[in-house]
Amino acid sequence: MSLDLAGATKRYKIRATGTEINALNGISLSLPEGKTLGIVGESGCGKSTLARLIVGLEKPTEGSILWRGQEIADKSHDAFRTRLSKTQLVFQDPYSSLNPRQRIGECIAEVIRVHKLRPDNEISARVEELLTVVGIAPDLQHRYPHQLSGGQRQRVSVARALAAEPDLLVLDEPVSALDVSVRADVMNLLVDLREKFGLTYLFISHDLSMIRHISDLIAVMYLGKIVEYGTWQEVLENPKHPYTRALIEAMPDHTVIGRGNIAKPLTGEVPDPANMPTGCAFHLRCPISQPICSQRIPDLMKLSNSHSVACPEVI
Amino acid sequence: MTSRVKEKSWLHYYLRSTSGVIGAILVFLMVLLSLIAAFKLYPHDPVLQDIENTLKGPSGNYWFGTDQFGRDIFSRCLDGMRRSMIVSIFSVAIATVVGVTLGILGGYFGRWFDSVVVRMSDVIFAFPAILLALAIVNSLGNSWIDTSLAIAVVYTPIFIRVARGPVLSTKEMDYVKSARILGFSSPRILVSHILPNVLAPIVVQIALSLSWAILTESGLSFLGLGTQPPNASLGLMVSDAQAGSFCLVDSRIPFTFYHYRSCWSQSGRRWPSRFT
Amino acid sequence: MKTNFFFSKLLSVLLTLFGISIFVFVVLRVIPGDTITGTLGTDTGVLSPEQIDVLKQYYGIDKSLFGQYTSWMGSFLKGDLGFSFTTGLSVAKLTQSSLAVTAELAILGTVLGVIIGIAVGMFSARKPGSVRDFAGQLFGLLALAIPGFVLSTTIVAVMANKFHYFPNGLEYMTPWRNPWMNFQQMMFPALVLGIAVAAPVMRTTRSALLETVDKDFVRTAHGKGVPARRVQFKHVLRNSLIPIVTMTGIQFGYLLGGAVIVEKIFALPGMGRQVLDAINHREYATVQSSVMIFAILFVTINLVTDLIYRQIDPRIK
Ligand SMILES: Nc1ncnc2c1ncn2[C@@H]1O[C@H](COP(=O)(O)OP(=O)(O)O)[C@@H](O)[C@H]1O
Ligand SMILES: [Mg+2]
Repeated sequence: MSLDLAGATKRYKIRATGTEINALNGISLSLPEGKTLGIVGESGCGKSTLARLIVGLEKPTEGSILWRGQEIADKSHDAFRTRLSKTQLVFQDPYSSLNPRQRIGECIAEVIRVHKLRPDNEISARVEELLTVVGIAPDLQHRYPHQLSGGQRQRVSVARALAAEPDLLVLDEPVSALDVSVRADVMNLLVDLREKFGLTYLFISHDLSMIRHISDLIAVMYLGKIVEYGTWQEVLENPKHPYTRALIEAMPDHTVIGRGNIAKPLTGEVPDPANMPTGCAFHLRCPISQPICSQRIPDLMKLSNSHSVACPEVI
Repeated sequence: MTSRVKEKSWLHYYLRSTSGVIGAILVFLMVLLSLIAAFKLYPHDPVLQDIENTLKGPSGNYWFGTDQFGRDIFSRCLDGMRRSMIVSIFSVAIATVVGVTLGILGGYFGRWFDSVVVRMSDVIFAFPAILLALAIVNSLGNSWIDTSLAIAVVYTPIFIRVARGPVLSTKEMDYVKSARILGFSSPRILVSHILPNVLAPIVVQIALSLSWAILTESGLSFLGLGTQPPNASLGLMVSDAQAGSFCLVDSRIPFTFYHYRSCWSQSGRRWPSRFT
Repeated sequence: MKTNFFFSKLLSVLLTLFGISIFVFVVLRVIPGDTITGTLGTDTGVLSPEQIDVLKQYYGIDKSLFGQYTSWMGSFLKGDLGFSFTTGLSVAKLTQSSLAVTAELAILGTVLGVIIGIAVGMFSARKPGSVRDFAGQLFGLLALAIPGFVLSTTIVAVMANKFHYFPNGLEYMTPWRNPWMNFQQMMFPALVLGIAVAAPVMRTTRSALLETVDKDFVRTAHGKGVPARRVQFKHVLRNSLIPIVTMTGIQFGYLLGGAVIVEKIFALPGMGRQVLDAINHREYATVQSSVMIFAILFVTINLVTDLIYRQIDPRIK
């Protein structure tokens, strides 16, 4: 049982200019149930797009996304809604992810009521239970979102997602918008919840240091593609792709950097996804770029059973 | 930042502005006077003619004097106000329900439905308000319901715009996306997650439209296509003044209009864009 | 990009005009139902079936709704707007003269309104929060609050009763037959419309002036010792022009609505009066064509405003 993506591609048409944006470019990966996959990449590389596709908010332009063997965005299916609610998403921005006109208790209760997950007389007890689980005092349930701090709102978002009793939780930069002081608390909460409910996580961040403690597997994304994929040891201790190396180099305490030549820090801008470079998307910024890199689109190639990288130069 | 705070500061602003308070008091007065008329508590029957007492000046018995048929102008003012209020409330209610529904559905679902809604409101916007009301009343008839329907058609596209715009931005909010991921039905998302968050400008628009609708109704009556004689209406009374039947009182009518209208434009902080 | 915009705008306007024609057709022909009874009233009862058929054919209502629409649009586009029995003229002929009256009124009203609005706006903005600012703002509020027909009737009552001066009581004179008389007849109605235009123009001018006063180039000019009044005229006003022009364009369109009432009160034979008279005489063809023309005017003015706005605002490209 797992989450399986095969060639998932998402293109957005930009009406004003008549161009297309390649937000996701053939993503294939497999996440076994109960594991946590960390996705890392610079802002704009398509992480949130991937999150939206996985929870069924948008359909892939091409490719398939299967959760437990069933197509996620297949609306023809009767159980679409129920299945949809089995994969939940926690958004990055705690200020827009809660309805400002809804008390937080009601926001959680609504989920339980709509899906009839508890008999009516047990709903309020369940709401209090969920709030307690995420570390919010139950007597705050009559508050509106704006009466809570960013960290508290994010906890409420998690509680609301949990109310749907999901199996897969996609966390799209859940702590990036929070104060540094509360980030660790929320991260610890997420780790606890994972153990407690046996959840599968897809944890997204632009910051490798955020991901390394929580992930079993790590995928590194660059401009809509996965450039390196493996267990956290493989990716962090033995990074192959020059982009991964550069990310690790940029970490404040890159104690886990692997052997081999140290990568130079990244220079230049991320190219415009509406106007992608030919060949390898990374070659313009790559420290080990070869003339052939501008002509050949590298595929993910297996280094070991779990570790793969999309750069022929380092294999 | 948040909605609560916004509401507070809006009320704060409103109560601090002198014209806001004056306006609120005058609106209250107008409602009160209309209620007096509704319960027929006016001093004289507004349509009762009295040949003995035509064109009298203001007195203790006839506060505003009498018109050329000896009818009490004060009572007619009250009754005219009541009629205007009814038409105004009824037409704005229809325009609000229809316009907000279409605007929200169009904004949320987009695609061809939205295009049709937007095109429809463009079409209606292309007519000067009074002319359109005139044309519709001409086709429908002169009863207060016909007048209300005509005015409702004129004001519906305003509500479509006011509702649709905020929906376009609200539907992109993460909490609406969350609601979709949580498997909520579209009606539920529209009613409990979108509607409450686009309500503020709609409420302001209702207030503004109520006062414009009174003017449109008066305009129609003035042109002979709204309230029919012998019933009293503010518009008709202005038109009578043209014949010189009374000169003192009609200056009070614009006065009422002025305060009533300015109050709402103040409270909405919006400049009305349709000339009636 | 630019021509692209122009064409998509034009296409959208054409679509709107098509919608308008259907709307006018539905509201003025389909909803009222039987044109014959509508026109002849109770006299319809004495007609023989043959006569009714002839009349139906005459009014073009022997066809299906679709057929009626296409034949109406067909002749409308060819310039055949129908015939008015009361005046014995074709509607096209009628419209020619009444359109000129309304155009003169609307242009005069706009010019007056813009002059008054800018003057009061500048008067107000010179010292925000002062008594003169309050007076200016009060003018704006009053101008907006008093309905056109109340202002008009008050003017008529005062002029006619107190000063026995009412040029509009005389026969209407075109500007080329009797320019002085025409001016007297146009003055007050244009003023009434102008005051309604002046309110928002005044508001826009005032806030645009207050906004630009803080800008660097104004301070620089002040610093160079340029007199305040010159700075206001030369620099500030020029830079405030964009919002004022836009506001004027918008108001010009709405002014057409005001014209309906004002023309009636001041007995001017314009488009508004033409519609009203046609309604009163139950001349459906005239109503239909005139309302259609009103809408076309309105849409065209808005299009032109939009294009002008894009021309003068360098930010929009
Ligand atoms: N709805 C959309 N329409 C057009 N472009 C989009 C849309 N959503 C995302 N994009 C584009 O797709 C790319 C990836 O965006 P996103 O998934 O938000 O990246 P990330 O979350 O990694 O920062 C960006 O270039 C973004 O501009
Ligand atoms: Mg993102």
